[in-house]
Amino acid sequence: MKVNWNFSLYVQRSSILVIGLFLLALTLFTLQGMMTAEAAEGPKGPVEITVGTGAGGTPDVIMRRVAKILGEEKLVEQPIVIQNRTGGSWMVAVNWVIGKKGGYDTLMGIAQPLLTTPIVQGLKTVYDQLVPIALFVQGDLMIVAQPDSPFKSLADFVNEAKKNPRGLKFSGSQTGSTDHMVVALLEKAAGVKFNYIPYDSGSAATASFLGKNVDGLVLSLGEAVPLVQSGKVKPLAVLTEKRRANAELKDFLTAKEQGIDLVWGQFWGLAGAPGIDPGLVKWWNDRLQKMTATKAWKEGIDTNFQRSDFIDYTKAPAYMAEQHKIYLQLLRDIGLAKQ
Amino acid sequence: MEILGFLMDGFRGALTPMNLLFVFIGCLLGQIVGALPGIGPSAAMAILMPLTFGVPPTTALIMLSGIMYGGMYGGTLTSVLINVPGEAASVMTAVDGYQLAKQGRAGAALSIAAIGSFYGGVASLTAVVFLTPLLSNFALKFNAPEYFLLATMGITATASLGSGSAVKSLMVGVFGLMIAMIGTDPMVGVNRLTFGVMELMDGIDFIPVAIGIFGIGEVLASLEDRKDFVVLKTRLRDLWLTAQDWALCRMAIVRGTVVGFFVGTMPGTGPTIASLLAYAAEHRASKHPENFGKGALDAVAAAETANNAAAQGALIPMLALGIPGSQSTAVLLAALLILGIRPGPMLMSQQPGLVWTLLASMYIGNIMLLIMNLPLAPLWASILRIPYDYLMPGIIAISLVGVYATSLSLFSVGITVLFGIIGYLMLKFELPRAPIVLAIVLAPLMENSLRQSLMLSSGSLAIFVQRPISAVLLLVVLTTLALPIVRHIRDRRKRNSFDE
Amino acid sequence: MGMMEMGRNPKFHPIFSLTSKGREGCMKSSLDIVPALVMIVLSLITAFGVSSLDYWSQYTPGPAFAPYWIAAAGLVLSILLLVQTKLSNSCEKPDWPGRSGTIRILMTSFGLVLILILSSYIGMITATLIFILYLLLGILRRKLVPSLITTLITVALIYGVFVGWLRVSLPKGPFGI
Repeated sequence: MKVNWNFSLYVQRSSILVIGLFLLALTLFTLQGMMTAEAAEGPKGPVEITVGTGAGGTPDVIMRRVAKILGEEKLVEQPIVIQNRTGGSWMVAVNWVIGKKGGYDTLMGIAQPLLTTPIVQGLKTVYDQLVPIALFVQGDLMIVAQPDSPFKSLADFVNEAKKNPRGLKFSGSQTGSTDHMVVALLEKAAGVKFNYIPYDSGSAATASFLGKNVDGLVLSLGEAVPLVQSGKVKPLAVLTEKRRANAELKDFLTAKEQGIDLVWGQFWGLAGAPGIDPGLVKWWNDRLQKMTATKAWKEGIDTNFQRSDFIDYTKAPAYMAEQHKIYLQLLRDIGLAKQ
Repeated sequence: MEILGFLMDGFRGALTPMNLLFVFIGCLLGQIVGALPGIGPSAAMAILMPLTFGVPPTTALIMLSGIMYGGMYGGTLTSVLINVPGEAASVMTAVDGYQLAKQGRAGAALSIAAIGSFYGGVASLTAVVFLTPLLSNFALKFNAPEYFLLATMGITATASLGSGSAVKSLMVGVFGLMIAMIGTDPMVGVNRLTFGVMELMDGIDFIPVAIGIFGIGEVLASLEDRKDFVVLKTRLRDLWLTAQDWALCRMAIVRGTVVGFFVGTMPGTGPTIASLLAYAAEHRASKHPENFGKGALDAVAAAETANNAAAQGALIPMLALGIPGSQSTAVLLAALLILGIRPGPMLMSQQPGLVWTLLASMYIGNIMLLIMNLPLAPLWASILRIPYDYLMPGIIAISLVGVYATSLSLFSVGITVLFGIIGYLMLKFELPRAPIVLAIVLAPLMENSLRQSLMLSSGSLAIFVQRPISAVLLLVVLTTLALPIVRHIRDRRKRNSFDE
Repeated sequence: MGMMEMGRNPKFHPIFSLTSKGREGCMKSSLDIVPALVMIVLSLITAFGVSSLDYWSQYTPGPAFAPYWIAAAGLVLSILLLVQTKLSNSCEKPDWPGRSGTIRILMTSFGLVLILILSSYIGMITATLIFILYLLLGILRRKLVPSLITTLITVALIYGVFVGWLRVSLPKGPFGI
């Protein structure tokens, strides 16, 4: 019968396909180096770190680096997988982790939208439902201008803005993002108004600046330094308390030095699901602390001109609460808060 | 000449057994994940990044970029064979490729896609090798006003897509625009049409929609008649390209390369938009635009050529400026950071070994992929010899799981199911489905770019004519809008004189 | 040329072209009327859904600008389609499948919704397995043994690729898969 003939051929073909794919999967397993050794305490199975951005976003890159170093330095025996749960500006991700009450294998990357999205969207505050383990990456920011512009300092830039309200243009990422908050803070600190043009992503905003469509841009130091070195941007001010000590950074003036009280930055860390075992929080805290002391970690931090001040599980909740208060106030000031 | 020397060094680096092995692994993995519905190359690069831990950074990048362009080849497979777009940039391939498969020409569609991808890839790569500094400056000249006009060009093409009346095609396009409006408005941060649903805050992604209206919709339609049918009835040797096919597609491949490459170099777009615009452009340039949507081989050639050309073109802003030109290059940049290399404008001068080995490896990879795809095209097509009844449950299952994998939420799966049913109903009401996809992808670019343009110009519309590239694009848009009207008046005159 | 002529020769106008399959003397074409009516509803939802938002903000269109214009375009197009249908006198109806075909499609759609609901309780792999069996045995009425083999191969493939290899964390059920 015709159907039977087709069928036997089909079984034959698909079995070959399946066997092939299984062999492939098996090889990849081995390559990925699945570790089976049992840790004395700590997670009992593979660990998931949930982040709310897609692959390639800053929090995603940081967490992948964490996973890589924890594995390579044999600090955590269990494999760590990064899960990108996008949607709702981190709210889908955080609600998923909150739903894993007491989960021993579920961690959440901490990033700013975790605190600011509920404020901007008028939702229930969520960061306080998670159990912070540690905050261990800080990112500083820089304001830059066009290389052929007449501005020599942030003070010059602000003076021009005073003469010409809304005349100077900033490109940045979406409304309510760090870029947007920094520009709002600068407006507040200097008593001026800019024309802020939101783009879909930070890199689109950078492209717009490099195409000479706007006058100012907020960059992380990791993005800024190569652009400064190649003469594509002119540094105006670093938004830190004191000047950074790195050789590449020591010549950049802070905003404070130029008489403008603007200190702002980003931070990242890890939190556990609600009801996570306190012993496990401490276990992770210790591992992360050891990780931040490794050479590989320090090199990564230096490459990106980030800082790694370790805020441990005892201090992290208070730190986050304080940050939340600051964000709430700022977003209310610029009319974005719905809380 | 200096560049040739660098490139030779690059080949010396890329031809080591270890690097060759990783080019092959990367291309193979890219081919497979490209073919899996939902998971695209960028997500796969992130997921498979741990495979590269422990190998030298250059080797790691070679493998990851292999996934990037390998995905462009692989995405064709599922689009053509089962009407489920394997990755975002292959969505237009599903429109015509599957119709070709139904006509027993799956092999031809796959072959032309492989040849087109190869040509587009190698031509773009050569442009990257020789012209990166020059082209990166050109790409930066494209900003909001230019993007607005490009998107407008694509959206106006919806009117002529589909075989029914223009009103119906436009109506479907408007439906797509409505879907695109859902979500947080990125310009002012307020929610639009989300009706309090948190999952809708980031908008509806177009992958679940495309998989639903094309893949699931088609499966539902197949349930109407209970016959023991096999999609592919032809013999293997009928699957190759004929001289006629080749004549039809030659120019489509060239045009696809040009459109794909330039759109790919722009920092605000990517392979998906490139293939959509190439499809729309080919529709205008083709001698048989009436075949589009019914199984036009040149449509498949243009779209598939463009997506691979764009995938390589996206390297230009990445290498010259440290700005990703696409989602996949964003992951490549992330991989650089994780491997401890700082990307930026000086990458090419500070890490020449890495950059040139990478570029050389991409030539090798494209050759490997051509070998992997071209002779095997009829073999892949013979999957359709499996009785459809036994294939169909797998199509649905792998589509739904693949969609879940893109966002890790069942909400997206729900969107797919909903649009599957909508897709079936659209088939029944003879509504073309391609305009939805075009509208969803291009609407945000169009809307945001318009608003950004007016912010840049403080409200003056003059920005669209003051910028040279924008002025040219505006002229093109106006001409393409005016052309059908002029043609209509001319036809009417002719008919009137004939009546008399 | 007047409206009468256009009515008789719908091919004449570019907008009215290509849907001239209708028969004389019939005024209802659900093929066109239903999509037009649905579009009107969607347009109204879009317009009212953004009514609380700004149409214009300072230099630029506000968040409600595009939705309003899209809704307007939707309304105009659906009215155009209705007029066109009326003028062309066409009587086309969708080519609905027969009774058994309709049942199969409804049952499959129901199965799709079921997979969605069941996934969060019994895991996505198990739900998929049940769905494939339901489709092959319940709806398509295939023979038992080939159906079982197909199900096993398909599920094993999905599990191997997505869970084993790509480590996608699919919704898990009580059995851990």
